[in-house]
Amino acid sequence: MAPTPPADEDTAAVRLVVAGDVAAFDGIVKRWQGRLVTLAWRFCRDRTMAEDMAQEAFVRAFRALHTFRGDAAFSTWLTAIAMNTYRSCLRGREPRGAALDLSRTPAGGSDPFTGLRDQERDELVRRAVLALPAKYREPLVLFYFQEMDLAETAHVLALPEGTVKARLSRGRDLLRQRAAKQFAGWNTRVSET
Amino acid sequence: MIREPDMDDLDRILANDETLVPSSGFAAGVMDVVRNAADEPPPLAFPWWRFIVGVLGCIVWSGAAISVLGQLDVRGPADPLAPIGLSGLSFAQWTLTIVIVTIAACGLRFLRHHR
Repeated sequence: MAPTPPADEDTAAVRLVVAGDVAAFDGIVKRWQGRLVTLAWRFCRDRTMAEDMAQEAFVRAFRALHTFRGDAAFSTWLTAIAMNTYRSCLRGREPRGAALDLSRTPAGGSDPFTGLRDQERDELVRRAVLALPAKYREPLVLFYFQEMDLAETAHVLALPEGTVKARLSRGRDLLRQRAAKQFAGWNTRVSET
Repeated sequence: MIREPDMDDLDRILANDETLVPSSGFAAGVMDVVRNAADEPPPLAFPWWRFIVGVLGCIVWSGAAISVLGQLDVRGPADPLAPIGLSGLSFAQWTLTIVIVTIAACGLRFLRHHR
């Protein structure tokens, strides 16, 4: 994960932009593009879509910049806007479930699954997160993938910390159960071949 | 055989996802869109004064209509609200009450929607 940009630079840029210096927003975009695109990608696993969603989030942030009062950290404020944007962009879309891309497994060998290394298993679990209900997926992505602490995750999602904690726990349980089911299915198929 | 991930594996896997580097022209593209957004005229503010004048006009008009109709002393064929003690209201009072309640309900809905 890229280091969090310094808050002072953001606060100064916000002041300039609100005063009419649109070019100052360029600094915010450059400092935050990696985190916002990565966050979007973690909800869709599609680069083009992730960049489109992140762009929309930046535009919404620009339009709402005058509402930033500094009560919360700029990172929290921006991430909350990004989350709302991604939520509305992804609304109505089928989750890109945990389909295993067999074309990525190395060719050769009698067992087609011999190339399924830990790395691929890990990727499969990450994709399985996308198939979780949104109320579990969002805390998991923010807490684990974005490395936010419980308080920050709760702030971004506008939920009490206890609720976030419960959803994280339930989300992990669901993920483990689903992963276990899938791996069991594959192992059966492998043993049959 | 593929080993099923346990909770520790899940924590490790979730915490170690890779980072996506944006395309080289991403920031420039965003700034183009932002500049276009900045050049757009600001959204029109809701015309509160016209709204208030309209509501007041409705009230005055309703009051005038009620006063005219009240002189006709029209009453309903029955008095269905007698059991709850509201049988004494005249037609004009009833109409005025209904108009006020309707306007208040519409106003509340509008305010909640535009808040």
